[in-house]
Order: sequence, then C-alpha cells, then structure tokens
Amino acid sequence: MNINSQFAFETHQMMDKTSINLSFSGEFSSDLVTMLLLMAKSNIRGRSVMKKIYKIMIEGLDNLTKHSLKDKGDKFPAMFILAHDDDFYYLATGNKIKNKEISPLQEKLNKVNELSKVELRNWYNEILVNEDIVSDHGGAGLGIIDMALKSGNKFGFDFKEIDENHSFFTLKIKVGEAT
Amino acid sequence: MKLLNMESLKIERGDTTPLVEFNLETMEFLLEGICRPENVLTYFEPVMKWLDAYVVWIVEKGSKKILDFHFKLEYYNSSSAKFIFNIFKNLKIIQENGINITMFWFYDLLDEDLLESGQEYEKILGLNFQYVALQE
Repeated sequence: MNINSQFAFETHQMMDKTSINLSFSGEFSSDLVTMLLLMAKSNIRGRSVMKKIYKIMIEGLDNLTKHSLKDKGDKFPAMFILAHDDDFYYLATGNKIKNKEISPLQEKLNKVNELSKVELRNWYNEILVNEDIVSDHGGAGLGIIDMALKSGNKFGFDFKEIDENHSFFTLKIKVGEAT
Repeated sequence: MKLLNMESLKIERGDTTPLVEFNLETMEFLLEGICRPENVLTYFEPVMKWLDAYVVWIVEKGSKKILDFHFKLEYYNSSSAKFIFNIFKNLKIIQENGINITMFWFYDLLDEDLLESGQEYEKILGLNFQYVALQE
C-alpha cells in the first residue's frame, strides 16, 4: 500500500479516537526499547502510575525482544501499544508464536488471572528461591507474574491463527491511574 | 588453603546496567541505578565470581565491622531478579558465619512495588533491613 495523505489522516484520526499514546509495529531491539521507554515517560502524567507502566513495559518489551518469532519475509513480527481512557492506561503487546506454544502459555496466563495478589507473590517467591537459572532469559517465567503483580488487574489475551503452524498472540494489561 | 588476594569490585554504570561498588575496606556495598542487561548471564558472571571468592575470604578473615549493603536499584527486570537474589543469598551465608549485615533498601516514596519487594526479601532471607524512602 502507498502512503498518501488520506492514509496519514485516517491513521491519525484512529489513534486520536482510541487515545493511543504510543504505538510501534516491527522488530524490537534493546535500543528501541530504551527509546519507547523514554517516550512513554514523557507521555504519562502521574509519577506513581508511570513507575508501574515503566516496569510493565520493560518486562513486556523484553518478551517481545527475546521471544518474537521472525520467519523469512515477516516485516512486522511484533507490536506494542500504550493507550488510555478516563480511568486506566492499557498496554498491549502482540507477537507471532508457534501454535504448539499456545497451550502452555494459555495455562500460565489463566493461572495468573485466577490468583490473588498474595498467591502471586508466593508463586513468585517460590520460583525465585527454588528454581535454578536455566537460560539467558533467566526469568524462569517470573516476568508474567511480575507484570500481573504490578498491574493489579486481570490480563486480557488472545491467539489469532495466522496459518496451521503459527498464531498471533496478544496480551493486554490494564494499569490503574489512581493508587 | 592460602587466602586469595581480594580487591574491591567496581563496575561502572551502563545504559541498562547499574553501578556496582563492593568496597573491601569500608565494607560498604552498593548497587545503584537500573538493571536490565541485554544478557544477564554475561553481565552477572563477574559479580557472582567476585562474591563467591569474597564469601570465602571474609568468613576466613572474620570481621567485627558490619557490612552495609546499599540497595539503590530503581528498577531491575525479572531476568535479573534471580541473580540479585543470589547476591542476597551470599550475604545470608556471610551473616550465618558471624558477620553482621545491614541492608539499606532505598525506594521512591511513590514506588510501593519496590518497598514490597524489599519486604518480601526481608521475610525470605531474615536479614536486617532498613527502609529509606526517597522523595523527589
């Protein structure tokens, strides 16, 4: 598709209407994450909520940098959106994954959504104390629990099938303005 | 066994990594800044190696002085959490060998999550934590 003034206008209108503060689609790198963090910082009012968003962003974008699947010809393997309404900020990440990864991920996210804050803390501590560092990702799955603890809200998530082997995984995280 | 020649450890701050200063003479240890290294394994390797040697060294030598650990990380990612916990575990070993430790846990007044993390570590480790609230 060619970018013309109509496309530019419509994109602007759409982002304006949905109150998008920040959005990026493409390949995520460490430098890009640094830049997105800086941009988010200047975009968010309220230092307390900003701290939460900042931390959740680092975890979420870390995941995109490390886990996004990029096959030959994929120009936009992942995306990130920061938006808000009157009451909340919303972070959304999306990335391509293998279909066989869906069920363990789904299981983990469902479990996180069912647990209370105290239970999440205990689970986090259990992993921290008992599990060895297994990869350079190091987290042993701490990242998702960490994001849930900081968000204080249930995750929204979805898997949209791309083809028989791949799906696009989206994760939506709500962060309260007032704490 | 002959004791190793220990020297203080200092790692300068990077874009995504903290200032590390573990001073042998003053027994003041400092972690300051943010911590989200691109590769946690490579980043923490020298720190963990130094600490392993230090534990042997200080336990053998003994000390009446208190080891003050100043935790001033504003943020650490979950991949670093495991390594930071390992650092604290080494402190615990040192304390179990008769050297007192005080953990000064600095946090932004508006950052409840960081305060809570400190309280969790205190509970798990049983070290003496002092909380220092910073107000900007």
